[in-house]
This record gives sequence, C-alpha cells and structure tokens, in this order.
Amino acid sequence: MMKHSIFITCILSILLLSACKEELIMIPEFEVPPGDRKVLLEELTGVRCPNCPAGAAQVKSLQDSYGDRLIAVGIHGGFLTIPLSESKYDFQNDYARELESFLEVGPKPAAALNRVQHIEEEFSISTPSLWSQYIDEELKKENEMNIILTTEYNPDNRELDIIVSVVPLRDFSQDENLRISLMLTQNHIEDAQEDPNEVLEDYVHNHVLRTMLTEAKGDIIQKDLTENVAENFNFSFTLPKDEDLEEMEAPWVAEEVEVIAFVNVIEGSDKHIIQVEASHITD
Amino acid sequence: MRLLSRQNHLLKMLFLVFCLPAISLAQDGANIYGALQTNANFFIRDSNIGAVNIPQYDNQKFGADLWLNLNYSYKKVTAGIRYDMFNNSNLLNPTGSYTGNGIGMFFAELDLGKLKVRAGHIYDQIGSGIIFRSYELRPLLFDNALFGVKMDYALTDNWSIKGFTGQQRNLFDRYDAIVKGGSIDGFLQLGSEENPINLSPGFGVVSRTNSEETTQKLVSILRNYIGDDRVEKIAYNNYLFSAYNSLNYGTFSWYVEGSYKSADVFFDPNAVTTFLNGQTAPGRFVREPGNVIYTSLSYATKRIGLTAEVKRTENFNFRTDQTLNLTRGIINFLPPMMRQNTYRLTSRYSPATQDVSEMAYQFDLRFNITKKLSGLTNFSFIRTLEGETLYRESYTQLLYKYKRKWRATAGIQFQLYNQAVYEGKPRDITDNVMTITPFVEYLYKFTRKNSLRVEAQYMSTQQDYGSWIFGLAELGLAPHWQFEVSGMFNLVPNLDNENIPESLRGKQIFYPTVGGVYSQGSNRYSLRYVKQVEGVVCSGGVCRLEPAFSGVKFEVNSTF
Repeated sequence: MMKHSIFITCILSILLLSACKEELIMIPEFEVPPGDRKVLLEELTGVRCPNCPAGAAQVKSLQDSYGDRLIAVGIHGGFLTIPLSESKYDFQNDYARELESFLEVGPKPAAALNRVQHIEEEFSISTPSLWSQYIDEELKKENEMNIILTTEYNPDNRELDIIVSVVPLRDFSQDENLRISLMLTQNHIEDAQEDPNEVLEDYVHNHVLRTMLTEAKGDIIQKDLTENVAENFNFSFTLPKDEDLEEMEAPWVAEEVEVIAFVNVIEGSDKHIIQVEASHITD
Repeated sequence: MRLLSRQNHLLKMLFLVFCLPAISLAQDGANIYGALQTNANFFIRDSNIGAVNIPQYDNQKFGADLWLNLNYSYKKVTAGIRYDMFNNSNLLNPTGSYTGNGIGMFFAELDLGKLKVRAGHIYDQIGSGIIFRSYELRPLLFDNALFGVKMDYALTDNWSIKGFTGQQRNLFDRYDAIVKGGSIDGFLQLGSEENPINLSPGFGVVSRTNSEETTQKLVSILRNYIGDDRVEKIAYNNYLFSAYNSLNYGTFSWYVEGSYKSADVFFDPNAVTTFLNGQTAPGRFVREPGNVIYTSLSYATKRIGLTAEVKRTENFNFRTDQTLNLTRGIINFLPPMMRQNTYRLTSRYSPATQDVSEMAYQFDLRFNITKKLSGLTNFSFIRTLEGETLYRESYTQLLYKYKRKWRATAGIQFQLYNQAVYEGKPRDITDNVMTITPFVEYLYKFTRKNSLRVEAQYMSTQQDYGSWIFGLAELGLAPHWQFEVSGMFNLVPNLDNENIPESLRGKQIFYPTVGGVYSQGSNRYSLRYVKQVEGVVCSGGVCRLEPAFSGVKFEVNSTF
C-alpha cells in the first residue's frame, strides 16, 4: 500500500507541477481612460482614524493621476470623527453624518465612487488600493450629462452665487428620480489627525465637506430634462465671518473653498451619480 | 440577476433535497434532524459608553439573526439545508447594518461504499487547515464553505484520497474564483505490537484560479505602483502544498506540518507605498511566495499533560480574491497560538493570527497533584519575524474539588498585548497593554439540582481603559432555570489614553449584565440586558474590534 500511495502522490505532484506553468500577465503602465465623464470620490474619513492619512495620500495620488476627471470630498460623518484633545476644529456636521449613514460606511478609510455598489452590495470601499479600479470603471461608462458651474464670489460681503447648468446628453424623464446636490468643501485646513504612529498636530486636511446648499441626498429635480437643453439651478451662500463662527468651527477661507455640483439618482438601492463638476470660488 | 437565477436553482435543489426524500420518510431508517439558532438584539443608544453613530442605535433599534438547519438521512443518502436570515444585523460589520435572507447552505451526500460524494456546500480541511479549511464562525458571520463537489475514496482501510473543486460561498452568493484541491491521508503502524508507533501521514495541495474580474482589479492596482514598488507580472493561478504527519508513541504525540505557497499577490500591511507625488502610505500589494511550519509535541500521563507548539508564518495570506480584507474570502486557517480564555477579563485582549509575519510559541502544562487538586499553566509568546513583540501571556490556575459539593478555581494571568498592531491604533499614543489579572471562581451545589457559581476578577493595567473589576453570580436551578447577574467596572480609569475621546476618557462606568436562561429538553432560551465595553472579539483565531454594546439580547438555541 505504501508503494501505491507514493505512486499516487508522485503522479498528483507531477500533474500539479506541470499545470503550474502559465503565461504571466504583464502589468501595463497607467493611463486615464478617454472621455468626458467625471467621478466623485467621497472619502469617508475621521480625525481619529489612524489609517485615514494613508487614504488621503491615495486620494491625492489619484487626483494627480486622473487630473480634473476625479473630484474628491472628505466626509467626517460620525465614526472616528470626535475631535482629539489636540484638535482646534470639529469637522463633523449634520450633512456629513447623514451622508455617512446613507453611504453605509464600514471600516475607515473608505470611499464611495460615484455611489455605485462595487463590492458585495456596499457603496463604500475600505481598501484604498482598489479605488483606482473603480474610478476606471466609472470613467469608461458613457457620459450622459455635462455640468457647467459658474461661481461669483464677492469678497466684500462674502456672498457667493452659484449657477449649475445641467446639459443632458439624452432625455431624462422625471420618473428617473434625478436629484441635484451641491457641496461646499475646503482645502488646507491645518489641524490634528491620528496616524498609525502619532497624532499629527499640523496635518493638512483637504476637501473637507463644510456644508451643502441642497438636502444631503440632493434636491429632487421635479421636471423632465431634454437632450442638449440646459437647465439652470441657482444657489447662494454667505461665507461666515470669523466672528460669527460657532465653537470649534474652522474659519472659512474663500481661496480654499470649492463648489462641487452633481446630479444623482435615488431609486431603491440605486444611488449612483450621473455626472459631477467642481470649481474654486476665487481665481 | 445572477443572484436571482441562483435562488431559482436553490429552490429546485430544495425540492430535490427534501421533497423527494420525504416520499420515503415512511421507510425504516429515515431520519430528519436539525438545529435552530436565533439572536434578537434590541439596541439602546448610550453615548456614555460610545454606543452611538451606528444605524442600529441611531434609528433601526432592532436587529435579528437566524440560522435554521434541516438534515435528512436515509440509507446511503444524507442531505441538508440551512435557512439564514439577517435583519439589520450587526454581525457582518459591527459598525454597519446588514439585511438579507435566503438559503445559506445546502448539500447532498452519497455513501457508495469506498466512494463518498458530496455536492453543494462543503465544509472540510486538509491537515490542520493551513492550506485549506472551510468552516463557520457565527459570532463573526464567517462562513467560507466551498460550493462545489467533493469526492472521498478509501484506497484501503488505512489510506484515503479526496479531491474537491468549487467556489467560495459569499453570503447568499459566491465568489468567482475557482478553488480546487485534494489530499491523500494514511495510517501506518510500525514497531512491535507491545510498543507500536502510529503514523498518520498526509499530503495536500490546493489551487486557486483567479476570476477575470479579480485579475483586472489587481492589474488596475499594480499599474499605479512606481519604482521599487512595481510588480511586473502576475499569475492567474496560485498553488499551495502541505505535508503533514502525526506520530503517536506511548505517551508521546507529535504533529508536524510544513506548507508552501507559490508566489502570489497579497496585501502586506507592513510594506510602504510610494505615490507618484512622493507621498508614502503604509500597506502595499506585493508578490511573494509564502510558507508556514507548525509543530506540536504532547506528552500525557494520568498525572501530567504537556504540550509544546511552535509556528512560523511568512507571507501566508490566502484569499479567494486577494483584494478582499478583514475576514472576507479567507480560504485557509492558521492555528491560533494562545490559550482560548473564557473568563470575561482574561479574554479581554486576544491576539488575531498574523498571516504575513509571525513567530509563535506556546507551552501548556496540566497536572493532577492529588485527586482533589489539579492545575494548569500556559505560556504563549508571539512576535513578528522582524522581532517586534506582539503578545505574551502567562496563565496559571489551580482547581480544588471537594466531593461533589463544591469546586473552587483560582489563578492569575499576566499579559502583554500590542494594541497598536492588533487594533490598528497610532503607535505613539498606544502603549503595549500590560495586564495582571487574578481571578477566582467558586461553585457550590446546595442540592443535586441547585447550585450557585460566583466569579471575581481584577485586571490591573495602566494602559487602554485602565483597571477593571468584574463580578458574576449565577444561580442554577436545574433542569430548567439559570439566572445571572454580572458587572464590570472601570475601577482605576486611564486618564491619559488619547485613543479614548475626551468626553469618555476617565469616566468610571458600570457595565452590568442581568439575564436568565430557560432550558427545556434540547431547547434553550436566554434573555439578557447587556452593557458591554468596546473590545476585540475572537473566534477560532479570527478576531475583530467590536464597538460597545448596549441593549437587550434574546437568544434561542434548539436541536431536534
């Protein structure tokens, strides 16, 4: 029997080892898929999340690679977001909390990419290395809409007027449950952040969601949209002055504020974003 | 759509599995048996302990999990099915909510003499599971059954060979990768009849073929890497081999297993990624071969039992899709190398098995001093291959039994737990947790049916939340009732732990549990009001950090 077993083992090993030879796949160089479609990366983050600086570095790297085809917003929504003892500011707000719940965040850092369920029915992907794959998938999809953003900021009274022009590239019926969402984000806010080794007291937080000028899930577009006919949506907001800030609210620095507008769908478990655009409010 | 189509197939299978055999139920020898387990959680928001910002506390308020197994056996056929239900469940993701229900598992098994065939969901392992193990851990909603076919063939009375192929279960769906493997296992007896040497050798092999989707995901990830980080080529297939043997001679028993994994892409949390803009971040996908060596030597007599274990692990992360993380898609099982503690405070810090870099040792000594007095001592030490200490535990307990009237246990545990590594907390503000935990337990039987069990434990530590005291009283009124009152209190809180939000830091909070269990035959019902501190929950060496719990738990366990 011993001989029998050794014989079978040898045969199995030879078969398996001979099967080990295969053509390996070469890893190509990076390139951005052509097209006009853009992607919104909603980074679910928090000042108490030690791995989030790595996630933010990944976002920055992806923005460098994809250029203006990738638009990012940092959502400090509740989980791991309570300010540290070194914190000057509290980045949490009601919009961020609602979005974090809406995007069903798991472990952080995580990111939703155009709010499409890419993995196992989840909107937020907790492995930053995977984000690039899903950005590519979104960029390769056919573009159905263009968004043109016009902003006018008056530094004297700090009033900001925004016109969002939505130009559909096909007809959209009201039944498709389209919504328009408008976010204000801010870059270069220096404040404390945990990382795997220490608390970084002068960490630079970018694209932090400050507020929204629509409902957190977007305002319903209560009309049909016609192909190539622009539909305008107007918004206005006054940037709070330093003396009007609430406790632990970061100052609003107009030069660092960015407007993000997007058209999204909410229909059952479908929450996807059709198109997104971003613009700074100052030159 | 694919899911719906699979559900239709499931319904057809259900008919085959249960309706056809039911026709023959009247025949002698047919047997239907099964089990029910259900948990219902009522969530009560409590911002004092951090039980907030989770959908169940904020708005859902209720979550439930259920598993119902039904098995049928008749002559050469065995079939089984399991209905799973999760409603706003916190098992899949402790900080999220998961809802889903359907057929979670089903199988049919044929016993054709020397040949046994099983189709459907397969639970099995090769050797100790290092290259393949499919199993279930309900507390973590982990079930990596292989959906496919398995055949076992008895070559002789002592030698058998098996082969299997399938796709790993993914809740109510399946992952796309194909997993296949097999093993040959035997039994040999050497030496004389008076002093036999028994050998149980085996050899196994497992292979995974990536799906096109996973391969493209890996390509997409790896093409972003630059310079030294770059991986030039990847393969669709990955191969694992394992040779193992168990040797028994008299009072000695020796198990050894060596496993090798061919070069494969996996996520190494210790590697560093350098981005295009020069920024760096911890963690990177690398392509490396891996290996594990595990051995266990035991010596046992009536008076003494000694076990020594050593395990070395290098690059042995094996998943059905390399881009999955946490407990998802794991194909194999790396034996945990620490004592499975049961007391509330001695089990508070449990290390998860490290699959990329780990060197672990464990020694266990059990001894009977007299008929009434026995004891055990256990020592475990885990470090990375680079030398960083991860975990150290020394545990000793003595047990004294006085007739059948009472029983007393006392002991002490010393621990070092690398919280930064195991829980991913910042290194500069997270010290290794050093604990000293004395404990006592006393069981007194008033009558043959009625008993009282009390526990007291004190964990002294200057790290994490600080020192804790725990007490429990459990009144047993056999055969039906059992009542429990317990409490955990942060006696000396740590005022300097920056990992704890300032609003919670230094608070002395009492975490009570009050509940009862009613048993009738093989049915068990329990109802508990629970407040539980945040902590690591481990099951079979797989661990995860779970947030605090506040609420009421109702559980039913039943077998029939």
